[in-house]
Amino acid sequence: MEKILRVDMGAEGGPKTTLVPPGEYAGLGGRALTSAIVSKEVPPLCHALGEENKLVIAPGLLSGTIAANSGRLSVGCKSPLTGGIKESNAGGMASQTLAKLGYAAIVLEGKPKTDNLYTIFVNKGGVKIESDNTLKGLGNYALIEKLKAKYGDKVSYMSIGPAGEMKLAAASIACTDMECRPTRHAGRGGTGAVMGSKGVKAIILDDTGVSMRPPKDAEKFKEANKRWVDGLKKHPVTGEGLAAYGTNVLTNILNEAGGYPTHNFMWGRFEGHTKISGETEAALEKERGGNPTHGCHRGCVMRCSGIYNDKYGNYLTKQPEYETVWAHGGNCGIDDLDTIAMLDRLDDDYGVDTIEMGATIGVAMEAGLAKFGDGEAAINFVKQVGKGTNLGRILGSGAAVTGKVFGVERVPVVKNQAMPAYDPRAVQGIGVTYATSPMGADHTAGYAVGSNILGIGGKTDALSPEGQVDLSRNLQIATAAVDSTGMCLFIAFAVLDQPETFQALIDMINAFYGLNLNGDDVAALGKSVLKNEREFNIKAGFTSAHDRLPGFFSRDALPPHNIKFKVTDAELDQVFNW
Amino acid sequence: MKIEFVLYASLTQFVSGSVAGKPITLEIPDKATVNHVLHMMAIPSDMALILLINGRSGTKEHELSEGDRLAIFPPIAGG
Ligand code: SF4
Repeated sequence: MEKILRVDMGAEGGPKTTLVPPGEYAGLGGRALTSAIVSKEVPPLCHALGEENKLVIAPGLLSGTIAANSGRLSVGCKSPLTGGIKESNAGGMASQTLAKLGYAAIVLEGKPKTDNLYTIFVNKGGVKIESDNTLKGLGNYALIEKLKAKYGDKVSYMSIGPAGEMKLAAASIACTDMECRPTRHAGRGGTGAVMGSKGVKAIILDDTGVSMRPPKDAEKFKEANKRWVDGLKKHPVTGEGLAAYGTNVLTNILNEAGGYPTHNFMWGRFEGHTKISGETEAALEKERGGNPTHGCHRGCVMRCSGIYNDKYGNYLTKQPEYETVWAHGGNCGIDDLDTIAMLDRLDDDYGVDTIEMGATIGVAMEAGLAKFGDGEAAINFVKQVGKGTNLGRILGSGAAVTGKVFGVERVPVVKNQAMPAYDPRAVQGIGVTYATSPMGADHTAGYAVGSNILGIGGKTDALSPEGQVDLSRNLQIATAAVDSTGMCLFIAFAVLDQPETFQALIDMINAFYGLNLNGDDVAALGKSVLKNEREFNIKAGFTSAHDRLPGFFSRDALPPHNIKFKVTDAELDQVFNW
Repeated sequence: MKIEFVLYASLTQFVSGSVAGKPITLEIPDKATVNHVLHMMAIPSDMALILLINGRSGTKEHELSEGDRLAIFPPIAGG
């Protein structure tokens, strides 16, 4: 990954490309690279949709290699949703393809002078940018079908739907999967709106005639990758659990633990949980000729994703993830998998974050715009986002905006980003991560659920504030490092429990780059990423007051445990004190 | 005494006729532990199970009380 492609979308006479060596960013990948570029080059006080913001797309350090599960992509920018720095992580094929083509990053800069819509095509021969206004308004599915007629289905696509074109703060960037469907999204934080503000509808990455990236020490790399794969296969979660039921296996356990946010974070248990659980979903997928065991990119051995067919056996959407099933399911009182799958399909098509969208509908239901449990109303809400009606644009701006417009107090956001599928009162460790992550409420930023509920990476009492700050700090550091490697975060389940698997990962990086890193260096990398991100946010106007959960979490007790969030403000302020 | 017993995910294979998430009532001796129940239901106790007693994390040595709900999961994760 010896070059960075910079595209000035605002250049006189149309977009202008420059190829530059990584320079001061050499040796960085994924989130480390996106956050380094954004924190160095984007003025923190700029408007997220303005010419000074940049959209940085970076494969991880090990993407484009034979390393298992190395195909995760980082997308960074100043977030139009949070106003802070953003790294949104996506699966799909784009990361492997971009890395194989030799790019450490693509950086979209400037602001177009016209309202033309562009495609950017990258292959081994170079870069071609074309204006194509016939793509305007297309949903991701129709867009990819249209582009496939020109570029085929052996390439990777990154694209935005109408929500991105409308620059809505919940807009995502879709990445195509192994079947060339736009199902894997850089969902969080409105990255799609930033791509829309740059006038780019799609990026097409074609790695025809390009080989895998060669390691410095091929033998050692191969050997370390073998230990790596063995380690992932040996752990019961990464080896079997994720493949059998997908991430939605969590519905039942979070419900049982009383931490499943129901009816917009009113209760911790949902009556209809078994109807929408991972067990039910996997069985239904099999029955309809879908597939509950599927990888989102080539080289994934954990295979948590799947294919969801409708009742006639036709493809409807990818297997909705736990977060999606929760956001549109229990959070909105909806207990019908087909309705949830349709919402997932619509979200992917219009290009919006499923978590933000579900949380927003929960807030809208709380406001009385529809009754909890009304699946048809939920579908209609998302359709309005796609159409860009006035109500749709409000909803597409996320839960915080919707709460303000309709006068709702119980709005589950931090830094304006909606909380995912764990109530921080019953899973106190994840509350610390929600409150303090530079990303806003984000479960992946420090997945304390593992230790609090699942007994992975040690055991902590989910209902007690004790030890949660240390837990979240360590996880946030480790996650920032993992997000820089291109590895899927789910490798952490094996890495946290099996020191030899963690060593295999470090050995792979060392063999690939000819380095001599150890565990401390990995932690140092994680800390430096967080430091960049925190500094950006501070300059953007964030203070410790932004590292807090909404007040109702420490005021209103959550049934069934009747518990409040008990980590104190003073403790929260210690998270980044290492 | 009676407890409510519920299995999830792949564990239903060990108890014929059981359905994930559907609780059954078990009659167990007073002061029985979770281990006792695992043995009684022929669930391999060497598996790294996730045990929730009334929604709170518990251990195999936990002594159960009348009316408790014992939920058992195999090692799982997601996110
Ligand atoms: S485990 Fe799931 S999210 Fe991770 S790379 Fe595989 S399919 Fe994608």
